Amino acid sequence: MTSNPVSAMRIASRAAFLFEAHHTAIYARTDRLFAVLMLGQWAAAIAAALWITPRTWAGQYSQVHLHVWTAVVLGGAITLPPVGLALLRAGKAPVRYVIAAGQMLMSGLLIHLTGGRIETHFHIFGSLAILAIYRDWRVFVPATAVAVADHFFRGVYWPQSIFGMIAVTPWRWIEHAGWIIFENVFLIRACQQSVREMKDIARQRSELEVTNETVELKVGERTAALEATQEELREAKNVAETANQAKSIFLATMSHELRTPLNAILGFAELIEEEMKDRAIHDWDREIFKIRRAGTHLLALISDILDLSKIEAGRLELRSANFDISALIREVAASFEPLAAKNRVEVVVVSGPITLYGDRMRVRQCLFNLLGNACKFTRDGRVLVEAAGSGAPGEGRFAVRVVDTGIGISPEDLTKLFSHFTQLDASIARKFGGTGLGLSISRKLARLMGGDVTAESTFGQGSTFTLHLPLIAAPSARAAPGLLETSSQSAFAEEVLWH
Amino acid sequence: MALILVVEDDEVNQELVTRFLTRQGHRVQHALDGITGVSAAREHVPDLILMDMGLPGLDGWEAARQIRANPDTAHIPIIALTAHALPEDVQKAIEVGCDAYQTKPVVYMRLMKKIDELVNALRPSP
Repeated sequence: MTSNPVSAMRIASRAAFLFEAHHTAIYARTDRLFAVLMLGQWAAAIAAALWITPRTWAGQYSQVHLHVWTAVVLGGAITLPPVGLALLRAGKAPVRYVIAAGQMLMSGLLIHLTGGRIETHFHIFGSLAILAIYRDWRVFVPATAVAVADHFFRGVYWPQSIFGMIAVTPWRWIEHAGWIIFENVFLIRACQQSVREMKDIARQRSELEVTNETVELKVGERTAALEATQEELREAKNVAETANQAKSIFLATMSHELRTPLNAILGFAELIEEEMKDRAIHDWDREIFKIRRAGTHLLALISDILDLSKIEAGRLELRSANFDISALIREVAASFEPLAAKNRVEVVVVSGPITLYGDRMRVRQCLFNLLGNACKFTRDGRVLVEAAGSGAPGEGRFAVRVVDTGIGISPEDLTKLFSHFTQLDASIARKFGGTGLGLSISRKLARLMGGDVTAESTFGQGSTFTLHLPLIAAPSARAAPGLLETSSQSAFAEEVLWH
Repeated sequence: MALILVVEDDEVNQELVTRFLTRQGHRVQHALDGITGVSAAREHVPDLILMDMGLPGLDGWEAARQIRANPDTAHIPIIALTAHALPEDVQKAIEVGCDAYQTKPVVYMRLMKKIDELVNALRPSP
């Protein structure tokens, strides 16, 4: 990110700002530290004067020593301006230069009050070290200037005040100045190093901040892009759903429209069949049968398409009631007896009476498809139908396994078995009949009822299709309406297709 | 032998059902829409009504309701015929008072049996 010149500039300017803020805080804090320290020194100077030289004597006569007044008046004059500045203008550059000068003047005063004791000179070195807290080498310029000037003037004109002796070599001040400069060199180096480190820290913080900002910005951009994409997806999904609904409604309408002419075709074929029967004419029985069989196949297709469109449009309503599943299995198996006999297939049903709560008609439709397929695709073999439930109502499962010894399904075909209009190849439809929608519908119906249809197969050896259904506790025993009679395609198929 | 009122707008299907009915020896009255269906029921008081549900104008459900609402025609059995295969259509037919329901395509010989059952049920047994 630093490779970007714009962010490099931002990092540099932000680093400068952070450094300034940090250093200003240190200046202000140190100003206040000196304000307290200088007030303490003033008090100490007065105390020292009172202790060392409280009074001055002239025979019997004594008065307050001049040192005491010096400590109060001169000490106040040295202390109060920097303290005032420190409290009013903390952090500003002139304040610390005034403080540096003031601190050195205070050293001079303390040295004078202690009678020029060498030990009091340590106050100078201590003060210089404390001034280093500012981390500003410039403070040593006024401090050193004041201290050296003080030593020079007093060393030359009043050595007793600063060195405690009356006769001193006029060059002694140079030695003191040397020691001050000696200390300053290292304090200045320490300040410069400290400033460099502060600048490094500021730069690192700045980089981190700019990086975070960039990351946040990127995250924001990505989030916005993601939201836009999601919105687009939602719209696309709505469009697709609307289109799918329209398609389903179109199919439902079409299947309705198709039934009217189909009714005429099948009806007139039936009429001719009846009339021929009455007149004992059998010349066209086969042709009439073919018209009716083709019409019935067309009807099965239309019904399946309608079912599929209803399921996909979410308009298929389940009408659930209690019913005996094993009776239903036997009923469906019985309806395939003619076909099974024709293909020399033995159909074996293994099931005790089990009451299931569900839509009997839809379960029948699934079983009709699975058993129909098993009988259709098996020659000289066996179809075993096993039904078993497990678990308590409400959480248990129920499964009907339809095991055949038929032609089987290859693994690649097994994957597309449940797609619409999938039969293993087109010729199968002609040879075996069926719409190619049966398994797809069966699975959709089973899933709608909370179950599923699964398939396993060994190519050439047979297939096992399983209808899984949940064992649902019936809310209350409700009888299915028995009044109505509908010519469901399955009932008609039994009658006509498998003669 | 009974008088059957066929309310059906599709002429081919009307002819078809008429052929079956006359074959069975029934007499047939026709109506092409709901409104004439209701008035024909009042006028002829048939033994049974075959009612297509998807009629123009006044639909089959409304026509059946009006026939049921009239005391003179309320007793006439009605068989609903429709190409609608949705369960709610069946439910609607029961609610308006139809006695039976057949989805098109109709298996006509089965329909004839149903008609005989309903007509004979109404006649006092000899």
